[in-house]
Amino acid sequence: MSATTGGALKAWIEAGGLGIAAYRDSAPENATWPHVVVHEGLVKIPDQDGDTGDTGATHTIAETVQVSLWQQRADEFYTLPDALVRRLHGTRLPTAPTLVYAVLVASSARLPDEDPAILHDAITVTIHRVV
Amino acid sequence: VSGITTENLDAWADALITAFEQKVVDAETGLLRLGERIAKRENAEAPDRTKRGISGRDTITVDAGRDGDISYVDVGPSPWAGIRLAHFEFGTRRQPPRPFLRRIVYEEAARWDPNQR
Repeated sequence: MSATTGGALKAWIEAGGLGIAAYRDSAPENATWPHVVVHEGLVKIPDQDGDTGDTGATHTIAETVQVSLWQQRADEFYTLPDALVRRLHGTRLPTAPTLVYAVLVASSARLPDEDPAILHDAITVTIHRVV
Repeated sequence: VSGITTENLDAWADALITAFEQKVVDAETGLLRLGERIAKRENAEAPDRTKRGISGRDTITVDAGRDGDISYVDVGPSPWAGIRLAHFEFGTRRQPPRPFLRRIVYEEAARWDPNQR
């Protein structure tokens, strides 16, 4: 069981056979390329479930997470961003600390970094889960 | 127009078409208001100074229109500000993401009541 949603995403990505390491929040300076950084809790929108007066009710949220894939331009794996999207979209994160109903990829953008030797694919993911 | 008869069928059809057209206008107005709220917040919360000294404030614009039968509202930064704000929004190798564009869109969309003008 992971302690956080981001940790569950890291575990899910690393177990996917893509051969990439994943980190929470930031990668160490000596991280091997390519690698993934998971930024969790960017936005948390509570679902309107109507049970605001019931303290025992189960509430759910939609949590936005960014999964950043970092690659060196000279050694770019062209199929890796799509493979990562396939790995994420539709999973239910079995090691997440709370019940996850669905992980949905909202968008994936290939962005130029300030460093021209680096490529950044920013994958925005919405996690529908119990809070 | 009251009660459908063979004599007032055309009037009924005209009234229905007018009502549907008004619904479309109302929906477009509501969508535009949503876009304006998003742009207002994004302009207020955009970085005042990025690393290269460019302000992101007041660069978010709203463009409403129709593509065939589809009404749209496009909210986003001007092209020259876009990549700077993208670095801020999605992060760089040296700087973690500080999302404000996605956060505001999701928050406002969650609050949006299409029936409210």
